[in-house]
Order: sequence, then C-alpha cells, then structure tokens
Amino acid sequence: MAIFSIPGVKLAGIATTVPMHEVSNLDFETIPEAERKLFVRSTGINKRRVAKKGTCTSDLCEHAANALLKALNWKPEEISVLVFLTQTPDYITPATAALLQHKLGLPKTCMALDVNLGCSGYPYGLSLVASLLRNMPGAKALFLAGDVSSACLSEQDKSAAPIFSDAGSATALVQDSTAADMHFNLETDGSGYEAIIIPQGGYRNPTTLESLQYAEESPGIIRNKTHLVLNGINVFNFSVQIAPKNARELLEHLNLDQSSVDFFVFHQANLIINESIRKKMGITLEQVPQTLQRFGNTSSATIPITIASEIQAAISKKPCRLLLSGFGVGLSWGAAIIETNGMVCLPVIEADL
Amino acid sequence: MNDYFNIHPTIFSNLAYIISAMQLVNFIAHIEEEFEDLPKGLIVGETAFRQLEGWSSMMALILIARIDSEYNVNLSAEELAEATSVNDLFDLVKARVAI
Repeated sequence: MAIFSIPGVKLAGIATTVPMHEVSNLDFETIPEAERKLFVRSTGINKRRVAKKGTCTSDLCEHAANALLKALNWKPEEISVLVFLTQTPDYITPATAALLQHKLGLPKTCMALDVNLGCSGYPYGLSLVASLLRNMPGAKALFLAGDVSSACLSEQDKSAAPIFSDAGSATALVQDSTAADMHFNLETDGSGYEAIIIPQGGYRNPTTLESLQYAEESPGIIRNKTHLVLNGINVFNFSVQIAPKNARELLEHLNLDQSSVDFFVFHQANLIINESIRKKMGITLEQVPQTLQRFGNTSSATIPITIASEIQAAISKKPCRLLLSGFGVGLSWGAAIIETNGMVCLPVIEADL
Repeated sequence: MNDYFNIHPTIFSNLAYIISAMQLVNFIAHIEEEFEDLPKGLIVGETAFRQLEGWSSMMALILIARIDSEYNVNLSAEELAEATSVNDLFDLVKARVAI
C-alpha cells in the first residue's frame, strides 16, 4: 500500500502561468446555444485558456519557474533535481526535462526526468521530488507540472474540448530538517486505461494516414484518432468513488479529523464531479477552493492554480494544512497532506504564450 | 382471532407493487427536476428519455450524477447506453440497491 510520510522537505514556493488568450464556452459553436448554457452551468467551466499554436507546456512551466526562482531569490545553479510532469511533452524523445535543464540555466549536476501523468500528477510529483530530496542534504528542487491539452484535443469534440484549459506550474522544494512531514496515499487502476486516452500515435498503435482522418463519432463529436477521448460518465463514476475514499484513508492513517484540514484542494475536473466529491465527504464550500469558472481543467496544474488563485492570501497569513487530491487518466489517483509554513505563493501569471 | 392474521397472500404482492410504484414516482420526480424546462407529469415510466426535449449528452452525465447522489448507485456508460426508457433506468437502480 503506497501510504507513506516524508520528513524534512519543505514546500518553498508555487508559481503558475496561463496563456493570456481566453475562450468562452458560451461561444462553442459546434453545439446549440441552450446546450452551451447547460454545459457551463453543469460543469462550472466558463472560460478556458488556450495557448498559441506552437506553445508547449514546457514554455508555460519555464515561465512559471523563472518567476518562482526570482521570487525565492534562488539561483538556477543551486537546483539539484528537476522533475517535469506532463502528457504534452515537446518531443516523444528526448525527455523535455533535459531541454528545460538547459533553458532554465540549471547546472549539469542537476538530475532531470519526465513523468507521464495527468490529473493525478500533482500529489505524485510532490512525492517523487520529496523522496529524492530527503537524502540530499540542503538540496533544492523544481517540480514543473502542466499540460497544453488544447494541442491534443479536437475543437469539434464537445465531450472534451470545452473542459480542458492550458497551464504550467512550478513548485520549489528544499531539504530542510525543520519542515513538517508530507504525507501521501497514491493509487492506480490500469484496467480503466481507456476512460481517458489518445488511441493512436504511440507505439501500440502508431500513426498512419487513417489516424488523421476526422470522423463524426456522434453528434457534436468530430475527431481523429490522435485526439484525446474522454468517457465522461465512466470518469465521473471512478472519480466520485475513489477520491473521497483515498483522502479519507490518508486522514484515518494519520488519525486526523477532516476539520483539522484548512483547505481541501481537489483536482478541478468539472463541477458535477467536484461537487459530488465534496458532498460525499461532507465538507463545506469554504473548505474547498474552486477555480473551474476561470481556468477550467488544466490537468496536473489545477491544484497549484487553485492554491495560487484562491488561498494565496490565507496561506500568507498563517501556516495552513492542505489536503491535495488528484484523480484521472491512468486511471491514477492520490492525495497529499502538506503544511504551508512560510511558503511563497505567487498570484496566477498571465503570459503572452 | 385467527381470522385477524389470516391475510390473503395476494395482499403482499399488491403491497410490493404499490411500494415499487411509489418508488418509481420518486425516481421520476428526481429526473423531472433535472429536465427543468419540461412540464411536470410529462415523464412517465415508459418515456424514452433520449427523445425528450432538452436531451443532450450533458443530460446523461447530469442524470448519472443525480442517481449517484440520491441512491449511491453508479451506472456505467455502457449500462446507460442500453437503457431506453425511464423504467429501464429505474430497474438498473432497483437491482443495485434496496430503494
């Protein structure tokens, strides 16, 4: 069972970058106006951010990382670990983390690697970086996470395109023996791998000419085989069953009461899922910050964006205990419990990217 | 005295029928609430829900979420695809939980 605690690693800061360009789902032309309104009301997703053609997740993360290094007054040459978590890398090969090491001016003594995870990625990435730092006295790390989902979606697919939004995040961690423990509960169920999938373009089903042919799967859903497919109902069922259970297990393992958590920061999937999870857990709206209206579902970046956008002020006033919960593609899910003691958190940055 | 307990057996099947009918009325009421633009009373057990005005794939997710919240039952995309009428949905829920 992957329930564990990591001592001596401090969460030093968070920065997030979104593209300036904003699209409203009320203008989503491929579906009737009444359905658009129903969509916005039900999913809670009104505006989404769309990166410029050619902008990659690494560009957004690089932007956030530079802002964070500056705010922390950290020098690039001090970084020993770089983890880049995304499903939209620059290239299939090589790992984008290597390119980012170079672009950010990190030293050659820095280890750098990519992780392929989506909506569950933030707690997973924190656990990986914290585990590495634990045995590296005084070391500093950057954990970059995000996606440019607009690049792998069909704009004519009403079941996926209006949900996802683009963003990159940077989280700084440092080995610090005085830091509170971080706690994790990480889980996987690959039997559900088809619930969220890009069917072709990997090595199981390589791209062919047919892969690129658009087809109408059902009314309002036109896409090709290299586009992301999302089974909304099965993702709903999965999410509302596992996310509350996973979070509760971690709290019980630590003998913590739900009321001892200042904020529950859930992955922002859509309002139907997020409200169902909140009600099942019996927690108040005040305990559950939410950013769906403004930033949509930004994959692994939803948790840092929600922290930066909604609870930055609360965190800067006093140390807070946060329960972070991510769930989605894989299927993969997990929770982290962290303390924000003296963490630097920048407001969400808009960039011309 | 014995006569007092001598209840005709058909009353039990009738009672079961009445309870099931009442449960269906509740189930329909939940669905009606989600189709807020439709007049009350329009939806019955035999209604083919996909033919209703205002139906869209979004409504499918909304109904699944409502059923989850009312009955703690998760109907899969495949189960939903096979259901045609409100009765079909009700039967799926009934089979999963004692409502």
